[in-house]
Amino acid sequence: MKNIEKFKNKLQREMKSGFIALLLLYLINDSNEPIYGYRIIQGLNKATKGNLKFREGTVYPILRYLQSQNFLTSFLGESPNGAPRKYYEITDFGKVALHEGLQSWQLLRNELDSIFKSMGVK
Amino acid sequence: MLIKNYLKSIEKELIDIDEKIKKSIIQEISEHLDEKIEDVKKSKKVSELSPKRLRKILEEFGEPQEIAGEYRRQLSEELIAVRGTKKSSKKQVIASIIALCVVLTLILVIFTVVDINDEKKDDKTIIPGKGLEVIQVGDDLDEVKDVFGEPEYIVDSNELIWVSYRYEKGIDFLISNTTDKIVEIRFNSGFNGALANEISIGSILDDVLNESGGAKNTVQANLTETTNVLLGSDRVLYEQIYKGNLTAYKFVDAKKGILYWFDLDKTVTQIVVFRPY
Repeated sequence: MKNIEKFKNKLQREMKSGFIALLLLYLINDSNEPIYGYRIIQGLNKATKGNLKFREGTVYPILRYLQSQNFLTSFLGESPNGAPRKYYEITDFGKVALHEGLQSWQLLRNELDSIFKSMGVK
Repeated sequence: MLIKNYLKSIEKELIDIDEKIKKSIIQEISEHLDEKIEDVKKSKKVSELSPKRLRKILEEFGEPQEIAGEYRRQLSEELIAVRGTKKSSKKQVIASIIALCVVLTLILVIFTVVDINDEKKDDKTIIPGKGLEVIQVGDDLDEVKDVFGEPEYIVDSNELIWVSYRYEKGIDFLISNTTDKIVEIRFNSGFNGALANEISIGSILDDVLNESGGAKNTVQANLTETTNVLLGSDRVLYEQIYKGNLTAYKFVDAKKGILYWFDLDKTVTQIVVFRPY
């Protein structure tokens, strides 16, 4: 049972990470203005309606990854709360990645559906 | 204390991550937690959160080990510097010796002027256009460290270095990356000083306007316009609109070298001092 739990967690973590990355690109692209981490996570919670369980802290490493791939840029801005805020914006390259990512996701979903169907998995 | 310990635990977990990256990670986590705490305080209409609620916020953020693991997974290999693999160059050795000499000199200076500094350190009067008696716009990082000690964190962005003493003292310094001089001093919640006219963190907008001679202009502005003061700076009151909602107020009095941020209750949340223009 412990191994099954571990396997499930691993599978979920790996699927979630890619899916969240795609959602993050989508949300940041959808925002009309530069947007900071906390707001992005609020947007993510709203978009997934609590169905996608994730720890808030695991989103920031993904944002960092997206930035390292030049899909996002960031700058430090002011905040009424005092501490500096890191604002994110999508790059043109990021927009292409989002488009490609959404297509790949659709393709993968179709392929997986068809594979499972052919195997008789319901 | 709870938050500080939590951040320390994450820092410990990130032991093999490059120091500069580690600091910026801690900064982004601390930013998130600050935002969330403020949000919860507002929604619960309380001024402080109970340890139980703080623990819940941290739980929702994740276990330090889990967070560190995720950073490790997402950071590309070149960003992770394995400890001990960096070779010391001759330049580094010379720089260390110079730094040591500077530190020794500073210690000497500190000991000789300790009485004067102690007196100055106690003075927490915010001076518009300058800062505090003991540290002012135009001073450099070494001077900041002389007065306040090692910063809690430093974030190096393209043009500015953010030097923070936020949790212990409620102060942040913005230092120009080109001149190495302080360009802004930010007083936040936790700073227990005030201006000579008694305006401080927690004062209300009307009092600030009265003490400043009123707003010449009130503008509704988006995030970028408000952040960069694009719609004027001579006693201009910004009403920051984000996605159609009023999210904050900012009053800029650039001729005096001071600006104030307010939350939706029109309470001062931050005072920023800079060179007048």
